[in-house]
Amino acid sequence: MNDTALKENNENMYWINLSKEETPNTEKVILRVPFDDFNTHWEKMIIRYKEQLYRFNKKESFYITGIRNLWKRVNYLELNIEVLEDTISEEDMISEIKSNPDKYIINISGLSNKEDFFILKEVVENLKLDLSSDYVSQTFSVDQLNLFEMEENQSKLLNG
Amino acid sequence: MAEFYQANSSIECLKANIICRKKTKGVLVNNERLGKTGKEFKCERDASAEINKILNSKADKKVSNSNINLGDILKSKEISVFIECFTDPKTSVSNNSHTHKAIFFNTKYYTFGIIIHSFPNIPQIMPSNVKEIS
Repeated sequence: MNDTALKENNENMYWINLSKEETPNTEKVILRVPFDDFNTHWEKMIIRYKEQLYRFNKKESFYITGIRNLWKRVNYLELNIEVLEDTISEEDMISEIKSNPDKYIINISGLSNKEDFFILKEVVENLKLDLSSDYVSQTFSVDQLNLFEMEENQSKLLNG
Repeated sequence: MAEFYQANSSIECLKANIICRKKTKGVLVNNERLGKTGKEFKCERDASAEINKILNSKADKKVSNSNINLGDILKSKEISVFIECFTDPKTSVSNNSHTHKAIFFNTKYYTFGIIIHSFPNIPQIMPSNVKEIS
């Protein structure tokens, strides 16, 4: 984007040229910003851009943790099947889990802020699956009690 | 000693008697709030969890709202249970009512149970009190 503001000052407004070539025939004026709010407008734009970037990064991290936790769940179920088929004993299973905790154990922690809760809600809605709260907490490494608290607070805000 | 039916009600104890009609296999979790590593699974269809042995002291309670008295029971459609061990508890199947059989099992380690889904008529009879986050 060519962000050179034109020198024209018509009715206390800045006229910003977004076209690449400064030729008289091109459409010069695309964005019209009030003269007084020029700086605040850009500040708002930057804040909005940062929020969008945060949301994108957070969504990606949720998807990555989701896949990792499903991998751990499958590993643990495979270990359980081996015990049921008598290929290994229960003691072997426990020793295997203790020796490789990163392969089997899912870490669950609370959400840091309200925004993360809404992002997680969006991710779960996008999946279009009937997931219970415990499955969501185990898949996305979120504390179940934290989810309950956030939901209660949200309903309180909506109902007054 | 009391019975709890509302969603988000929980119990904490060292031993518990649990009855349900369906039990999931569950996963291993390291819960930051409880500060413990163990197995978390779900008990479905007319599930109940009763405290059989209380905690050694009240200071061991990890969740502020949870009930810790002897004989406290959770009854609901779905209960999520956390046990501080890596293996499945031994279960037995026997008659629970005139028409249905159920799965019975006892936990022998630290147990945390929480109601995920209450019975469908409970929110109409007993509307929940919204608690603020401290």
